Amino acid sequence: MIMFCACGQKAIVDDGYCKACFLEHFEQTVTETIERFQLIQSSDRVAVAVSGGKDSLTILYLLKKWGYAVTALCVDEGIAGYRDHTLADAQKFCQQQNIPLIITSFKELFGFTLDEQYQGGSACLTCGVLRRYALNKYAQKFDKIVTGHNLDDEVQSILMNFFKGNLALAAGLGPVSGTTDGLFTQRVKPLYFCTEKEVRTYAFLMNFEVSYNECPYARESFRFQVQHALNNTFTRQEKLNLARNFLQLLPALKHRLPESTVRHCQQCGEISRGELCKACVLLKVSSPPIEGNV
Amino acid sequence: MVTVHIDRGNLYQALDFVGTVQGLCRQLTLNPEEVLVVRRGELLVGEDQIENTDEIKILYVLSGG
Repeated sequence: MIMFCACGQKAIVDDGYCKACFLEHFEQTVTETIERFQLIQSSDRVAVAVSGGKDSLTILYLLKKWGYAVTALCVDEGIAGYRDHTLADAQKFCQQQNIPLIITSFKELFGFTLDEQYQGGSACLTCGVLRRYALNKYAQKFDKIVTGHNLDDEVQSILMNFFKGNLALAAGLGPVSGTTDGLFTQRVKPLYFCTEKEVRTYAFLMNFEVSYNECPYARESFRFQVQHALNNTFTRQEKLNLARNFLQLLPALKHRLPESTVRHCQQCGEISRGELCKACVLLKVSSPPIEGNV
Repeated sequence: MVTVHIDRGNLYQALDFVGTVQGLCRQLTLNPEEVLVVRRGELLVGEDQIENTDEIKILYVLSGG
């Protein structure tokens, strides 16, 4: 039986929208998220953390379309056969859309690529800590860092933190994270209520030229297990319910687990929640990880 | 025969199949939450019918790390 949209056109997604209505619905969801959580002001200087994948290019495209002052910020971790492709996609996209692009790399900042540093086990912890370090460093002259995190990413993070007993980390989730004390640039997630499938659908319908590669390290991660368990078990609505209910609990969680004071890392001088930032702890360095650059 | 091209791994498969998109996903052991199904450049929904002469593209939703 053919499924039709409320407008009378043939549906192209299981929620019953035709192409035009889906595009409108998707963009409206993102707009409402930005407005409801006051994610971005029209005067903000916005850095969009771009990987070159569908999520980050989609939000970069939309913010540019809506007139925000966006700059794309890309961190090349040095993952052969993966990041080189997505980086090329990001460069091409930014050129086509006339968006300024800043590229930095682990090699430039830390002296090694992720591939060179990898010694087995999960690469995601190292990658995540160093990526955040790089983004924080380059985003200090911006008012907001926008990330392409979608509903699936968020629901996975909520469950991962609960499974691992990291309530303090869970308290840092939500559409807005980070403090407003002037040291951290706030991170915001306008795709918070869009599923990964919806973002992929939008990118497909908009003919974005994006590589749909999988990071070679992804399958070793805890996130990979949680992602597939969720997709095999829960519907879009159930994921949405989980995120919405979590947002209702979030103020209580933040109240019980107040965020630690933000300070400067004693070794590298970058912003940190402890005496040493996580990057310095991870790298076990006795000198600043970025020579002459801190 | 239905010809299926799966973007991840650039795999091609031909199979004798008539039924819905949902049925095709089941037969190919694909999670419908994790793929888009495309025919002649158009997205299909789970209830759409697939004929035995169709050329189908399967696009993975999950990417990145």
